[in-house]
Parts: sequence; C-alpha cells; structure tokens
Amino acid sequence: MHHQGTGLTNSERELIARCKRGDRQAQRDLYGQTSERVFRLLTRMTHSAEAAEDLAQETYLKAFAAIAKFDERSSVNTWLYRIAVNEALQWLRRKLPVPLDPGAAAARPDSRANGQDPSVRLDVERAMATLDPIDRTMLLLRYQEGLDYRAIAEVTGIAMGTVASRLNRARERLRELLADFTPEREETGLDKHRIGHGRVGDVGIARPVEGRVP
Amino acid sequence: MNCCDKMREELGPYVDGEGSPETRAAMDAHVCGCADCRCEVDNLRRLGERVAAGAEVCVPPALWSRIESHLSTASPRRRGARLLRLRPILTAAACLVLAVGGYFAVLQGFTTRAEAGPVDFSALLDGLSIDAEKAFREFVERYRGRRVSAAAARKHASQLNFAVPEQLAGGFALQEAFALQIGDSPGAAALYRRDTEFVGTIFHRAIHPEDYGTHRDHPCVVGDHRGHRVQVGEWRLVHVTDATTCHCVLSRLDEAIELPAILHAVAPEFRPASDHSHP
Repeated sequence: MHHQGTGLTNSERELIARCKRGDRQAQRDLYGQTSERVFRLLTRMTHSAEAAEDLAQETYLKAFAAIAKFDERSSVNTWLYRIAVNEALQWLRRKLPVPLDPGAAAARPDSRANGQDPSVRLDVERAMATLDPIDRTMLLLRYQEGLDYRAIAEVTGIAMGTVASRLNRARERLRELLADFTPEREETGLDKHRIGHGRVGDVGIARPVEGRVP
Repeated sequence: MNCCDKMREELGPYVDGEGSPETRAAMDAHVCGCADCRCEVDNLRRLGERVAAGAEVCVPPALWSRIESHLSTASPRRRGARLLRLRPILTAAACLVLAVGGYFAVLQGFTTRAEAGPVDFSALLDGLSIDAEKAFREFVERYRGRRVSAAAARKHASQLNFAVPEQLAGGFALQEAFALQIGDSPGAAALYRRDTEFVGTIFHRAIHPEDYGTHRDHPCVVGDHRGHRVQVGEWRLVHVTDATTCHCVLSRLDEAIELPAILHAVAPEFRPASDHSHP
C-alpha cells in the first residue's frame, strides 16, 4: 500500500469502491490497513492515548461518511492523514497547552528506538510536546510517517514551496528545545562545527541553559 | 555571507531526499568538500532518526468496535435497498404531489412568487474538514454560481450592499467572482487567495434564515461587526448582517487580527447601530 504519492493500486481502488458502497467488511479492512499509522500519528500529535483514541474514532467516522467524495487523486493514507491532522489540530486548539503524558508515547519500549537511552527518548517527547502543533505535525509526517514534501503539503494544506522552510524552522526549534531539555549533557566537540552564528544546540548535544529545569 | 550560510537552508531538503538531480549533485559536491556542512548533514540525519524513533503504539483493540457501533446502522447499500423497495410508493407520491401542485399553480395563475428558501450552508460546512475550497465551490455550484467579473457580480446582486475588492488585507488577491441565484434572490460570492490559503465570501439577502445542518452557530463580534460564527475545525464561517445583506466570510483567519479588516472591506458601509445579529 502506498503511503505517499498519488497512485492507488488496483486492490486499493477495489477496497475504496467497496467502502463507497457501504461494505462494512471493506471498511474494516481499510481500518485494519491504516489504523496503526493514524493512531500513531494522533498519539504523538496529542501526547494523549485517550485523545488519540477519540480522534481516531472521529477520523474514521468522518472518512467513511465522506468517502464518496474521495477522488483518489491522493493516496488513501494521505487522505486519512489529512482528516486525522485536522481533527488533532482542532483538539489541540481547544486543549492547549498540551501536558505530556509519558504513558502515551515516551515511556513505552520501542523496537525502533535502537536502544536509545530512555531519558533521551523522553527529552525528544518533551521537546516535541512543546513545539508548535504545526511544527510537530510537519516533523512527524516527515520523519515518523516518511511522507515526502508533496504529500506533507497535501496533508497540511501548506504550499508545496513553503514545506521546506517550515520544516527547517521546525527542526531548528526542536534543536533549541532539545538543548534546553538536556543541560546535563555537556557540549562536545561536535558543537564547534555548527554553521553560522547564533545556532542552537546540536542533536542530543545540549548547551547548558541557565535557569531551565529539565 | 559565506557559501555555507547560503547552503544551510538547502541542507534540510537535501537530507530529506528532495530536490532535482542537478540540485542534489551540486549539494553532493559541496558537502563532500565542506566539513562543516558534512557535520550539519549528520546532525540533521540524527535529528530525523530521533523523531522517527517514536514510541511504538498499540491500537486499542476495542477501537474498531467503537467505530462500528457509531457507523450508521443503515449503510448506503441498505438505504438504497430500502428505497428500491419503496420505489413504487415514492413514485406514486411524487405523481400526487406534482398533480396537486400543478393544480394549485394553475388555479392561482402563478400570481404568487415562490419564496426563496433558507440558505443551506450544511453542505459547505460538512465538507470543510475534507477539502474546504472544494466545499466552497460546491456551495457556489449549488446556488447556480456563474463565474463573472467582480463588477458583474456586484451588478447581478445590485440590491445587496457589499464589495468585491481586488485585494484584501493580508495579501489576499481576488481570484474569482460569482453571480449566485439563491431561490428567487440574486447573491454573489468571491474567492481570494494568498499562496494556498483561501478566503471565500458569500453575499445574500439578509432576510433569509440559514440552515447549518448539525453545525451550531455562536454569536461573535469581529472588529465593529456583530454577527455570528459557525466553526468547523480551523475553518470559521462568520456572518454579519445589515438591513439588506448578509456578508459571510469563510476563512481560517484570526478573528481578532486579520478578519476585521477583511470584513470591513467586503461590508464597507456596514456599521453596527444596535443589534445586527443575524435574523
């Protein structure tokens, strides 16, 4: 199954056609194929497992209600991401500021974390939770979900030409936050390679910041 | 500004695999010879890996059951089957309605004008969370929208009091103007764009109540304008009404910052006297 690009496979087209006819098994199959991605994105966008569950439910109810309007120009995942992102951003506007629920994402073992230090993992989650919701969404779509810039533009409604600059800003902000959250890890030699003036801390390598409690 | 400063903005897209082959080849050559940029590329890659290394999630087992329980018990197929079973009855009923309607129309000699029905915004509002611009265009089409010049839109709905400026505050430029027909009343609409952000405006007679479907509307004040607002996700349909015209602005703009100037531009003569909340 594609998760970016615009081409649908024949089996996807068949599945969508059955969903459009109201075939409950097809709806369940579509849910089965996509729910992990949708739920994972919502969990890390909201940092709340409970909210993610509610929003995933709303995402699929809206998707099935509107599937007749799905024109198949984008992939079904992109379309679902778009609905999910809209739902999550709406929820975040109502709920800001977002408290970090370590149980939602950060504290669980992760087979993909490659043995990453849990405290480092928590730093990332705390920094992500502090980011502007749009910046967080952009980073998750790019690095967690693997979408290319065109698909990110489709999901977020941001102009294709500004995705790169928005991602640059989001990365920069994340690095600033990581630097703030990890003062106990001292600067290393890598820091001297930072380019330009006024750059913020390196990835996982923080500048001590006075007055901030991690 | 040295060459690395110039390259810095391009390193993110480069690490993300974006850019033309020519651009990437040029970046390859630069990064190969620049220790600072190589280090930055490594840092960017590691940052991406750290974001990607998110917690593994487990979809709640009961989620599908929750969704299924909320799905309509009457699926489109079932509704279709039910309609097929009812088709003879519906056909007979339609014939009866037409016959009776025709009789009274003839009897009255068509002396009574048909009243315009309420403006049905539900289709627009229902579609906002999926594709707002498409939903706006479908609304325009529903009310027989014809693409015309801004002057022609104003002329078409000359009984209404509104403006279709070429530019709106915040850098929005007029893209399309439409002449609408809402029941027996002329109306107008316009679509503005700033990059991919769009703002839609709709103008119709003030006396019409509006149908929002399942959506709730709330009183609001935008700038000097008192009216009401219906919110769907990040989209807001804001209405202000004067004696003749309801001015509706569909946007994602902030009500306190960008919307007042836009509302003032499309409803230039409108000043709240007392209570201008929508009828």
